[in-house]
Amino acid sequence: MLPCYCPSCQTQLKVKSLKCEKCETEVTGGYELPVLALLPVDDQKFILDFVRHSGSLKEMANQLNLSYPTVRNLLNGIIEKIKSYEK
Amino acid sequence: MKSSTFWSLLLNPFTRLGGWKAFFIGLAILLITTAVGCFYEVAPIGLLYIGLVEDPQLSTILACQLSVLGVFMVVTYIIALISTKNVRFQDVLGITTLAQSPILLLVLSTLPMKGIANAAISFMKDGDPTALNQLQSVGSYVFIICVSIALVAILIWYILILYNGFRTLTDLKAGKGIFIFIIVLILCDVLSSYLVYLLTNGAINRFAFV
Repeated sequence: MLPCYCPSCQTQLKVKSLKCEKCETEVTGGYELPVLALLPVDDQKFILDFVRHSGSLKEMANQLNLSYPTVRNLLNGIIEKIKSYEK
Repeated sequence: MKSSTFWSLLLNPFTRLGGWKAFFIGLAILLITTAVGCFYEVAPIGLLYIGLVEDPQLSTILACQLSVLGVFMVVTYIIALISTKNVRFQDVLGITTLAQSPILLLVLSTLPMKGIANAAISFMKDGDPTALNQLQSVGSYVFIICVSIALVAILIWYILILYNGFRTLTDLKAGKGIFIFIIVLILCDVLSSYLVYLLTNGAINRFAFV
């Protein structure tokens, strides 16, 4: 799992360098993490499942064995988190 | 089923149940409650009140049940539409109907109190001294306390289920959600009591158990 927050002070981490495994080229800088990467693992899994089910909350509810409004509330929670990250 | 899952489902069945499935289960329990209430002359006379009904008809008890359910459903639906715009009507219908299920237990648990309640009514109406003796006996006090504790426990469970249904539908978070729920509870209780009074032309005896 990609660490997103500093283990010492809990500040959001940034990407300092990226490396090509083929030619060993390294790109360094101060890049923001993508919003999806900032979400907890469960929420990321939820989004992947949601896309796999063509955005059908009904199918998601069947797969997770949860009621439709509970799944809708989970999605609302993720939307709120994404909005707070984008501020 | 694990016991923790069982208890969490008992307190909040709406994580698993919603929509038409919840509606049909809730409707079946509501009809059983109506039949039991008619047989034992007990009916919900407000969102949080169960009272005695003299010579009840099935339609009177059903009207009481539907008034209580209808008021809670409409108020919850309005708040759900304001707080989350993508609420489905069948979820409101199903969850609010299923949330009324503990009324069956409330009705059943009031049955042991019927003798005491009838004695109290008899004493208040006719000043019957044998009714007063029955009310003042030590056994009556112990009995009333035991049944009252059971009634309060079921009432708390009922309120918890109502809250969990309300929270699932409106997606309102803890502090704000609890505050709005308390207002909804009081509002629905007043409105449903008044509606029951209008529908039954005041024919229901207001001696309430809870």
